[in-house]
This record gives sequence, structure tokens and C-alpha cells, in this order.
Amino acid sequence: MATTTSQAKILVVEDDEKIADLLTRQLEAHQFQVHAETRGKSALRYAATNRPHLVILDLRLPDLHGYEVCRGLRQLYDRSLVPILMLTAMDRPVDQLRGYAYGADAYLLKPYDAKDLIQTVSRLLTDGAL
Amino acid sequence: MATERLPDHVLEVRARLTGIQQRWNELRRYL
Repeated sequence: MATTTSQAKILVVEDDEKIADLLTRQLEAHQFQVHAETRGKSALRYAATNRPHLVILDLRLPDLHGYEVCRGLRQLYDRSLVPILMLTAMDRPVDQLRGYAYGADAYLLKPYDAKDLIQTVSRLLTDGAL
Repeated sequence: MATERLPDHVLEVRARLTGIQQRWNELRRYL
């Protein structure tokens, strides 16, 4: 990807305010630009007109399931354009497999470590999604 | 009224507890 990681715009889709606040602070501390949405539909509307360089996506959202949001994002942007990191408490192997089937590029479980988050985000932005 | 900025470690503990609670909720769905 041409964009350096420090310029990257990251769309965070997370309905829990406490986790969204922390994600925003951790990412901004690494010079990422963050836009946060708490609902799936609003996230899709935002992404349609503001292409993020990466999406961090919770799965249990109040309106759409994260899988549906992921599918909607994939209809907008190919894997090579916008990597998607699922960040969720859904910890069964089948949940993870389903996530990849819907178009995710990485899958992290809550509670997460900041180091894992930043490493994964940086890897996805630097190496591309595939 | 100005909103106080919480220290990083407080945010981290708060979010970690929330993550643990969400994992527990997931586990309960399948018990």
C-alpha cells in the first residue's frame, strides 16, 4: 500500500464506548487517524464516501452483525484496498473461520493487548491484506 | 462542563474488564 502507516486513516466500528475510547487513544498515539462509528449501517455509509485504509470491526453491533458489515465493506472495497481486522469476544474457531469467509484479513480476541493490536494493524497496512 | 481526560491505564483496565465481560457473555451463550 502506498500510504505509510503513520498517515493511515482507520475506521473503528465498535459500539462499546470504553473499548472505542481506548482503541482511539492507542491508535492516535501511533499517529494513525481514527474515525469511530458505533453502528454497522452508519459505518457502511461512512466507508462508502470516505475510503479508510483499514477497518477495525467489532462483531456484535446493535443494528447489523459485524459479518454483514464486513460483507458490505467487501462490496465496496477489495481486500487489496481495505484490510479488515475483526476485534471481537466471539472466540470459537468457527467464528474466526466465518470471519475470514466474510472477508476479514485478521482476527483478534478481546480483551486484547495493545502490542498485538498495533503490530497487526501495522502489518496489515505495510504488507497489504493478502 | 469540561470532560476530564482519564489516564491511559484507567482506560486500559476499563476496556480489559469490558472485554472479559464480553468473553463471558459469549461463553454463556453456548453453555
